[in-house]
Order: sequence, then structure tokens, then C-alpha cells
Amino acid sequence: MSVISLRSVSKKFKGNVLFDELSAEFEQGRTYGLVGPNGSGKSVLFKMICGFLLPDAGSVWIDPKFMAPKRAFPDRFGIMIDGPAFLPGLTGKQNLVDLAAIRNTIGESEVREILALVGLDPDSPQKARNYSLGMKQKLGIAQALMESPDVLLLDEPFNGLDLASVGNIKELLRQRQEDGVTIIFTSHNREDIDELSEVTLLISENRITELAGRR
Amino acid sequence: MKFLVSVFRQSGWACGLGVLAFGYGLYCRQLIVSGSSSSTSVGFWDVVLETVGNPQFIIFVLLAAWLLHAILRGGQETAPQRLLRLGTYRKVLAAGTDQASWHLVGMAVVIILAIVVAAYGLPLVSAPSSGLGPQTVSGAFSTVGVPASVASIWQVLQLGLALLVVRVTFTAIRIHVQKPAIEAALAILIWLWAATSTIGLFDKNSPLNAGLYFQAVSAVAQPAAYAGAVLTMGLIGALAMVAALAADARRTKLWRLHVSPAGLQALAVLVVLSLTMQISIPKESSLFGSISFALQGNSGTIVQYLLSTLVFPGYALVFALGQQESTGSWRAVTLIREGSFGGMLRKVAAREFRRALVYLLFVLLVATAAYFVLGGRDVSLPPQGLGIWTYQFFINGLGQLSFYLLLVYAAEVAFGTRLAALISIGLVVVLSPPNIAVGRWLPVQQSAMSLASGGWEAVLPATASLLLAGVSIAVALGLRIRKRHIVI
Repeated sequence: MSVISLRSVSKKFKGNVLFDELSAEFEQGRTYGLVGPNGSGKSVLFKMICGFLLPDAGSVWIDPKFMAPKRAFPDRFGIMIDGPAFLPGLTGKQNLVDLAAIRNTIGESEVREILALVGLDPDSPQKARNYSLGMKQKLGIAQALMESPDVLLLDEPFNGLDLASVGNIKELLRQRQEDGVTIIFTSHNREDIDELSEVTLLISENRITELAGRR
Repeated sequence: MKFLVSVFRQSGWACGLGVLAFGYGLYCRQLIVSGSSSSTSVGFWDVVLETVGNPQFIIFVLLAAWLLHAILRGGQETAPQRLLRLGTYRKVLAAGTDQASWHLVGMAVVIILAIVVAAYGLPLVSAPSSGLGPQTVSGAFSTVGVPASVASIWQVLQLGLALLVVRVTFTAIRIHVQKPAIEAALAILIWLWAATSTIGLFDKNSPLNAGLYFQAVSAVAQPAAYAGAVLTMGLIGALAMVAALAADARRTKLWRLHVSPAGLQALAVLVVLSLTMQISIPKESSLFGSISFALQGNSGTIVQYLLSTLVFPGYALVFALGQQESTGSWRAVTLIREGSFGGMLRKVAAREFRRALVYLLFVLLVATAAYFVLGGRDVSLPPQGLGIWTYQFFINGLGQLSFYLLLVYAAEVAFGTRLAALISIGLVVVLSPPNIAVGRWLPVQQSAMSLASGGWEAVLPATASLLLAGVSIAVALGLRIRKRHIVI
């Protein structure tokens, strides 16, 4: 059963044609690895799925269970697009607690738990601006994973992480796979894609093509 | 050739400054021709000197452009790849100074050429000497026997030195702090200090008088104070070098400041409001009267206008700098949780409304404290009644702040960049100088405390005007979002 469907989507972005009549289906509970050269439109595709950008032609269909009547953007989606998002003047925990207060489905204890799971100290007084590249990345992943989303859109989740942390995050993603979460992620490392994804999609020349994968 | 390269690389700045210098040259030419007697000869050197020595040209054009240049280009000076290649902070400072010197030379050539073009339109260009009145820069120099040509070169060198010291200070601060917000705040403070000096806020002999640093003519009028200013500039340059050497020695950072933009805004309001209250208390002895006098907006003098600019558009500028929900990745992760743009707007509006109210209370508290500290003791109620006064201060004050916040928010959301917010605030400030005819229709006028003396007939239309302006912006934002969706 599809949760996201791209139907003949065309999109120009800043003068470049990114997608031309692109169609794809993303089924519930499956993991999709997106590969493609720089500037091929992977991040734009994520933004269109979320509704932050509209296609010039065609449509992006989202399972109505994620779209309550007054919502313009889907519910229960965990996202990390264009790098980790954080307020530099707050600690990692404060950042997540502030974000969690919007949905109000989890509290501070769950925030502490997810921070510890990604390998960050929940009690650290360090401001996010002073985090290392890898720590910022972990904070971004924690942000996406908290509140137990049903769909995860992760743009380059393993960027800047050391080997042990990559293994840890992969393990967390495997647990989400077992829980039936739909995961769409991008990576320039083919090994990561092959290891985690069931379907590998190549975005190139304005099109999306399915490559061989673990079906 | 270095200056030609500099002019080419800085062609945008050079062209802009050239056009402004040409305009000021024409203005100064007209000014000295109309102010001189028919028997007086006015040469192009007089025009050059009058223009490059004109305090408005120096402060509003050259200093403003140079500070902006320092902020925009400064980050490159301490970029990691550059640090690694230069090897030491001392070399970073030296290279920055060298580069800035050539920028200054390039700009000086363009500016002087523009002024010469403006000056050669003079009907009286034959004689290089002048017999202008002592109120002019040329006249002041000629009284001590310094010809306009020499004085022009002196003024250009003096200005170059002062601007170079400003740049060296910025580089030294950047080496230790590396906080663009601190640099922006420092630039605003330097500019405010220089601008308020031109309108006579400080005594001419005071070391705080910016004219001593930027105008060579001060050497004629206030020689002792001028010598002190030159010494101070040398001292600042030496301090910058010491700071660079300290950084090279890998000592503890000299500054460990973590001042947020909001903290800086509060500090600036505290300083500027206290200074303005110093002027207003002798004119309006009562507490409410002096606060009203200080917050006249663009219906008052330049000082009152500057204060209102700081209190209202300044607040919105800080909001734009700190605002994370309108652009970038943070907006994406908040929007996906809020579910709709309207939901997020409502939340931001409610939060900012509360903050604006607290901020207005802070302004009132600072003004009241300054009043009592400066010796004021009259707390009699305002003649038009406390109700109208309070309404004007809080309701129209909130309306004013809301309008600016909405404006910068809409600009950021619509264009997806903070630069749009900065431009929108810049436009508001540029379009609302004191006492212009359209001023009364602009939102900047609607929270002026002078309106309170007009009773409800004056303050209620102001509220309606602010509401109309706010609704217009909201509608424009709504249409923009519907048409093109949002930019992330």
C-alpha cells in the first residue's frame, strides 16, 4: 500500500529542469535508498513530498491518514533535509524539547532517551553552535527519529559521522524498519544504500529509475 | 596597479560611491558658490575640500559604506583557508590592513574623480585660491594660510587613516570574537556615535566628538583636541596589533562575550534612550512629558528620530536576525510539526506579541529610571490624561512593533532570505526621515508620543492606520504563499 505517490511530477528549480513527468510509488514499511549526482534534485524531491515546494505540473499524493483536514504538511513524518536543523543558541536537549512541545506527544524523558540513543549526552550544557559536525548530525537524526514517526525522510543521514556512530544509527534505522516505518534516505555511499534499502532509486536526467535492490 | 585592481574588484562599491560623491560635489559646489560674494574666486579644489570635508558626506555616505563593507567582506579575512596560508594572526591583520588600504585608495580615486567632474561645471574654475567665508572648510583653512589643494590632500589622508583604523579594529575584534552579530552591533554603534556627533551631541573639544577623527579642519579649530584624537587613533591601531600578537601567542581569548542580538538591542536602547532623556528633561520637566518628548519619532529632531528608529525598526531587525522559523532547515522541521503555515503563524504571532509587550515595558522602565537618575522629580499626570497617554504608548506602540515584525517576517518568508528582511527594514528607515510630508502617513509616525496630546481624535486614527498597514502586509503575504508556496 502506497503512502506517497509522485504522479507525473515536473519541477524546475532556479532555472534548471529537475524532474520531467516523474512518477514513483513509496510503499508503507519499506526502505528506499535514493542515489544520484549532486544537484539532481534529491532534496527538492523531499521538500515536494513534505509540501514545502509545489510541483510545476503533476501531483504529490500523500496517504490521507497523514493529512488531517487543516494540515498542509503531513503528520507523523520525521525529516532531516538540507542538513541538521537546530537553534545554535540552545543545548541539544533544549532544541528537541522545544520542537517536541509543538506536537506535545512526548516529554523530556523521551527526548533524553533519543539523545542517548544517538550518542549525545542529554545533560551536556554545550550549546548546539559549539557541537562538532558529527554531533550536529546526531542531533538532526535525533530530531527526525523522536516522536516515533511513521515516515522518515533523511537527506544524507551518515554525513560527518564516525564509523561507530554510523553503525549505531544504522541499528536505530533497522529497528524502525522492524517497526514498519517507511524510510526514504539519500546517500552518496553505495554501501550504506545497499545495506539498508530494499529498493534503490536513481535520480538522474530528470527521471527516477529503480535499480536492483533487496526486494 | 594595485588600486586599479581594487577599483575593478570593488566596482559596485566604487560606482555607488562615485555617484554619491558626484551628487555631493554638485551640492557643495552650489553651496559655496551661493554662499560666496561675487568677487570671490571658487576653484575646484575648494569643491573637493568642501565635499570630502562635509560631515554629512563623511558620516552618511563614506562611513556608512565602509562599515557595511567591513561587515560584508570581513568574514573572508579570517576564513580558515586564509588563516592557514597566512600562518599568523599578525599577518592576517597586516594583510587585511594592506587590502583595506588599497580598497581605500581605489575608492578615493573614484570619489575624487567624481567630485572633480562635478566641480568642473563651475563657472569660476580659473583661480585655485579661495576667499570663502570661515564657515566653509576652505575658508577655515585659508585663515591659517593652508591652500585648498593641500587641505584637500590632508583631509583625504586623515579620512583614509580614520577609516583604516576602523577597519583594523574590526579585524582585531574578528580575530578574537568571530561573531557577526557583535560586528554588526559595533558598526551600528560607531555610526550612531558619528551621526549624533554631527548634530552637536558632544562638545567640539570632547574626545567623543567624531569630527576630530574624521575632519582635518578640526586641526585648525581645536588643535589640542585634534592632537588627542590623532593619538587615540594611533593607540587603537597599536591595541589591534597587541590583540593580534596575543592571539598568535595562543593566550586566552581577550573577549569571551556571548551577547545575544536581543541583549545588544536592550543595551543600545538603554544607552541611546538615556542620552535622549538627557536632552528631553530640560525641555519637558515632567516624567510623562520628557518620555513623550524623547519618543517623538520622525516628527521630532534627528536624535528623536534615531531613538525611535532604534526602538521600533531596530527591534524588528533583531527579530529578523534571531528568527529561525522563517527560513532554512529549522522552518522545515517546525512546519512539519505545526502541520500548516497558518498554525505556525498564529504561534509566532502570539509569542512575539507577548515579547513586544515586555519590550515596551522595558523601554518605559528604562526611560523612567533615566528620568529619576538624571534628576527629574515631577511625576504629574499628562495634561491629556493618563488613559490616552498609556493607550498611545502601549497600543499604538504594539501596533508599530507588530507592523515591523510582520513586515520582516513576510519579507523573509516570501523571499526565503534574511537579506530581504534587512532590505525591508532599511527601506522603512530610509523612507521616514524627520518631518517629511508623507511621514504622517507612514507607520513610523503612528506611535509618536506627540499624537497623545491630540486626544482620542489623534490616537484612534493612528491605530486604524497601523491596523490597515498590518492587514495589507498580511494579505500580501497570504497571496504570495498561495501563489508560489513558500521558499525553504
